[in-house]
Amino acid sequence: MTIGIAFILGAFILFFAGLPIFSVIGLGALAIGLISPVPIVDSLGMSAWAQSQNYVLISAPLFIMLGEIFVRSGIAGEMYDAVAPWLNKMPGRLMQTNVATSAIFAATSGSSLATAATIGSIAIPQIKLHGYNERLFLGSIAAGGTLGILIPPSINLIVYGSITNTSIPELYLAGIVPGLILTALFMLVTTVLCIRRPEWSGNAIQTDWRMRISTLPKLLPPLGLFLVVVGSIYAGVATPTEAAALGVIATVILGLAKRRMSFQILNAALFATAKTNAILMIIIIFAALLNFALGLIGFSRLLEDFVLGLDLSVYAVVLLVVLIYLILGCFLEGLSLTVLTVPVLAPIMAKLGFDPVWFGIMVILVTEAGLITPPVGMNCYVVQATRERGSLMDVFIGVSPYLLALLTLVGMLIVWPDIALWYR
Amino acid sequence: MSAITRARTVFERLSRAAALIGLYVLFATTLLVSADVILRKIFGIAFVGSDELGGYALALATSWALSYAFFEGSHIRVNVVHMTLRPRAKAWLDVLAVLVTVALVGTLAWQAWVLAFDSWTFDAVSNTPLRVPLWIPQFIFLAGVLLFLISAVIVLIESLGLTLQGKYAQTITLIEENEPSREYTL
Repeated sequence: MTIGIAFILGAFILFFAGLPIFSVIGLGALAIGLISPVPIVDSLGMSAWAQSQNYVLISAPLFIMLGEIFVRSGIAGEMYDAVAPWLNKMPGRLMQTNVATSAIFAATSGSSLATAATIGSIAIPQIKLHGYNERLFLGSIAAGGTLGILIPPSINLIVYGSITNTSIPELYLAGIVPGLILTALFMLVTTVLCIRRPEWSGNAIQTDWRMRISTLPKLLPPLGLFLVVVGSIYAGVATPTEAAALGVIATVILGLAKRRMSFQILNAALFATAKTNAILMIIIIFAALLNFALGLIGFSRLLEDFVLGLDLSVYAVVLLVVLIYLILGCFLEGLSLTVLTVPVLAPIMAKLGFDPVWFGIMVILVTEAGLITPPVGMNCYVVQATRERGSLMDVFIGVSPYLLALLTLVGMLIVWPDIALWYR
Repeated sequence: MSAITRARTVFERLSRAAALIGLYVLFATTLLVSADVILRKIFGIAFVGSDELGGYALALATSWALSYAFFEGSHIRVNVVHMTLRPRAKAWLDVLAVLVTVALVGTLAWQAWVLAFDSWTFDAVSNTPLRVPLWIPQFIFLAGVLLFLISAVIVLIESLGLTLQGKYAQTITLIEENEPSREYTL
């Protein structure tokens, strides 16, 4: 017990000293090696190799690649222009467009940060142009961005699926209804706030029915891409890895058709993918070793016995787990949070009778909450970085009403698990 | 320019090249996998082993990009406390972070070497129809890890030198993320 506390304390100090997360995880694994009966370090080679050529995980860099190419193809900007006229009459106008376009973008992108960054770069210039309440507008972008990892495809769900051996197609089916509900809730929050405070909404844009109809075809590329990528997974035609590969090729073809594709653009997309994939995989490699070590010294069993021994009601356990995630999510970025907690918690939740698919969606929702809560709300950082003026606090304040919507969905998912498991 | 800075510049360029090669291999894999799906679904022709080759491509793309991501300073860290510190403390913590990186990547390189060398000695082949001699992809994986290790050692020496001379700002720019905005992609 003392060793355990010293261990967790040490990890926290190293985290906050600003050590890269993979190295804190790696040090943790090697430190366990000191007290473990079996040498831990000897299995690093094998486990690193096993993770590096994991067939499920290949889809993660491919979806990252797809997103990076898609962002550079200029299609996202056209999507925004096509959606905006339709929501012009709703309270909140372009703030509704921010959320709706994020949801559409999320259907081709597996990353929340990419979604927030893309929509942010298109939308932020509109704040001054049309006189919006800046904080709420920024909040709608940061919140909308979180949809990236909930609406399939989702890189986080791939990582969850690879850790827990849960079917990715099932996770993708389970993500779609909560994704749509969350989109609706975000739009509801905007509507309610803007009815109460009409001055928060900006000026209407010039539009008519002819314009609404004539810009509709601009939504075809993302729709087509969604059909190729997610549709082929749902239909059982392709595995997630195959679907991601098809999506990459389709995006390149789209880019070529729009004359927005060159080796320069492709190289830039590949460099960005290289970076993201490398930081993701090295965390996964060392986290696999840590979890192997934790299993070896019986920590996982200990925690399991402890939680099961508490004899709490099912709801109490869920609330506890949600609370743990919300707290950790304040300090850890989403994927590190997933690789550190899921291997330990998922087996316990399964023992308690929770469906692993359901738990996967729950993990995504609480991860999303972490993305928009201070101090380490990465989505807010991204929006602020795109804005390049003012204070980060504006974004955190602006996003807070949307956090309520997210927590509402967490509650709904606990009460009605069928929101995620509707397809069964 | 000192010898160590020159060495760092060379390895920075090498790492960029390695990352791009790795990613083009992964990109080529998307073509292979797509062709596999389309041929299988439409013409009923099945390739053998495109999933296995995809796995090796991931191992290559990952390990060869590690050093590049390191030079870009993009490995994820919790910097809530870190960013409030004074330059001196920041610089020393950055040096510590690189030191830990060297230790861990050194361990990884050592174990990856053991793995690849064992595969070589025992003529291990993959348990698939392709029967790929495993030492080939494993040594390619090791090469990427070694590149990362050498880069980390070079940066450790350079940043330690800078910090000891009191050049904290330079240490920080050397180790931390160069472009803070726009490039968040996870």
